[in-house]
Amino acid sequence: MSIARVWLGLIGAIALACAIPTTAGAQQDFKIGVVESLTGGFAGPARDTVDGLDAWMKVRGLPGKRIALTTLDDETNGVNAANAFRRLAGDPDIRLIYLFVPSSSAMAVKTLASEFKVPIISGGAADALGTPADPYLFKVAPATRDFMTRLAQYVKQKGYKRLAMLEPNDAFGQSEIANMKKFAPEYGIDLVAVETLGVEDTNFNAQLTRIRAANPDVLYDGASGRAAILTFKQIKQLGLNVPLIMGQSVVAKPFFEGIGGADVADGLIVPIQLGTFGTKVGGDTAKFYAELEKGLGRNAVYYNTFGFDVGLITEAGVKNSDGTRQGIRDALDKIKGLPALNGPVTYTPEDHTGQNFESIGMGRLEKGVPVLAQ
Amino acid sequence: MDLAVFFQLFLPGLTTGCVYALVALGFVLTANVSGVVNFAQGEFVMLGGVVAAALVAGGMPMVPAIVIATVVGAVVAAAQERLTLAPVRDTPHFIRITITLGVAVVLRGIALILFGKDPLFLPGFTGEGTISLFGAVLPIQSLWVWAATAALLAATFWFLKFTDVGRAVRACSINLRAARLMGIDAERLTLLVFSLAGAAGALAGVVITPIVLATWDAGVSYGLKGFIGAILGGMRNPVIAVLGGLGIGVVESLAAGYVSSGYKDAIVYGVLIAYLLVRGGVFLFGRAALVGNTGE
Repeated sequence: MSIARVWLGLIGAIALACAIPTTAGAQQDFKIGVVESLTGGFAGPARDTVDGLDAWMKVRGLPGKRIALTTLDDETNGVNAANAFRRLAGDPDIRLIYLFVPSSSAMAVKTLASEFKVPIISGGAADALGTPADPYLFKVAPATRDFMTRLAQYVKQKGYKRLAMLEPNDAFGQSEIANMKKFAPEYGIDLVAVETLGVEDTNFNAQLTRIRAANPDVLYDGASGRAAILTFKQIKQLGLNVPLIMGQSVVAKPFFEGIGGADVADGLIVPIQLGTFGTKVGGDTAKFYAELEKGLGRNAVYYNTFGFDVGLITEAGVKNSDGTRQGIRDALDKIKGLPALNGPVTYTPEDHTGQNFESIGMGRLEKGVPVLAQ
Repeated sequence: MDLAVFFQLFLPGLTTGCVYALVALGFVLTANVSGVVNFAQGEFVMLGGVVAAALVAGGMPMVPAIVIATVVGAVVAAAQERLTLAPVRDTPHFIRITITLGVAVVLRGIALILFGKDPLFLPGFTGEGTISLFGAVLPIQSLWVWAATAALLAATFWFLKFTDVGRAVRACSINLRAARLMGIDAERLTLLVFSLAGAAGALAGVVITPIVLATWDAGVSYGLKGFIGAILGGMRNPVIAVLGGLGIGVVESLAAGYVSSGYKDAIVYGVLIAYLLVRGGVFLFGRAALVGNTGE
């Protein structure tokens, strides 16, 4: 080998070594902190959410930026969520924080949001996350008031007058009851029975007997988890033959297995976010849903659509700002009718809920798949 | 009063009460021979349910799954006694009770890891149909729950009344120190009673699972309501404990139906508080108090 060829090889190697960092350096790092329920009861939905976010990063992402996620586990626990948030917010390189945790954990973080002045995009359905608005916390999914608005509209449209409700005795169930009590007169609905259940209860005969005695035109059952399975079965066992509407959490494998098969739930009505209907809805939802499935490489589930929407909101916030924490917050605060997978997103200084009842459709289950009923 | 409505509330309450009754019986028997309130008692109901449901889901026929789930309950209860209580037999009462609480938490954690967080389904022993009784509609499985409870109670009372070992258990419950002085091997009896209580709890879990599903955290509720039944029985009297367990199931169902579903737990616990106040707290651990019985 000649000396000249050795020199050429060395020069080539040096040039290559210089070129690699230059190419990587063209992609500016954008650090995002994530408080996620990696373990505990909310781990499944949180995982699905992150999968949806990953799909967004794959097919869209932030042009010219390499997104670096720093994730801490809250173990589905509010105290841990607050501590994890403090640690992430203390890192000045982190520009934005995601909360992929249940409502209770997100509420724990909300109390700290303004202290650290870092913009937060949060999961959770609790109304109190979005209103009153914390200047730095931005919720995504519609609130319970929106689900109850859509439910009231559906009940009115179908000509039902007498509505009965069966709700868990937790904050979520009580919020649904309070909202429906507010909306019922406006939509000409007579709330003839409001029964509550404990999430650990197994015998719902008393509540269902009272509901049957109230002779409703339609029954809304807001139970989730095991209580949803048991109330559904006991409604059928008692022969309570009224149209049944249940919360969107029932569109899941454990529910169908528990009631004896997906076809057993045929005809069940669920208020559910538009993203679940996928490409059948058309418009922006269909477009983004197709992108989501491309990014996932498989069929999407509900929480995937939520993760994708978090990405779209991030995209808008970063694009319309200088990339600083304050700049991103200000840009998010100005979002109006941003097209997203589950429906348009709007924030005002007074209301940081994000999506509203327009992002919810009434689905009728057919072999476990929701088909748009309204 | 509409009798059909009454029975629609009463009979399902009785079904749930059967499980509370068996848990209450387990509390009383184990407390009598060991001097310890075993707060892991409700977890054996959970164990029986999840083990049987998982085995059947895995393709095992129903009968062997029931037998294995019951044996698992007995073995785990025996292990609890040998590994966590026997070594600390001479420590203060509150330490041993705290240990049983710890065992309950550990069992729940293991169940969560092994069986997952989703409810597990077990088919009814004779199908998923319903029967009409006194105008009330009930799942057929309710008959199995009642039959299993009746059989278990009959076997337990026969054991206590007509066998030498049962008489030894009763002797321990009257005065543990005196029983030991009379040559009764209280340690072996404790192991036996823990195993039987574990098996009874697990079997209760198996028979109720087709109606209520099985979940890793179901033991808390059964344990709490069974404990109230045991308290009503003064932690001494198995008959009153069983009646107390049955009564709690019925009262919570009737309260939800006739008063309000939102107040049913408040009514159950209100009844307990009223009872304890009326009895002046003397019945909390029996007239002689368990400490006296253990010979400490």
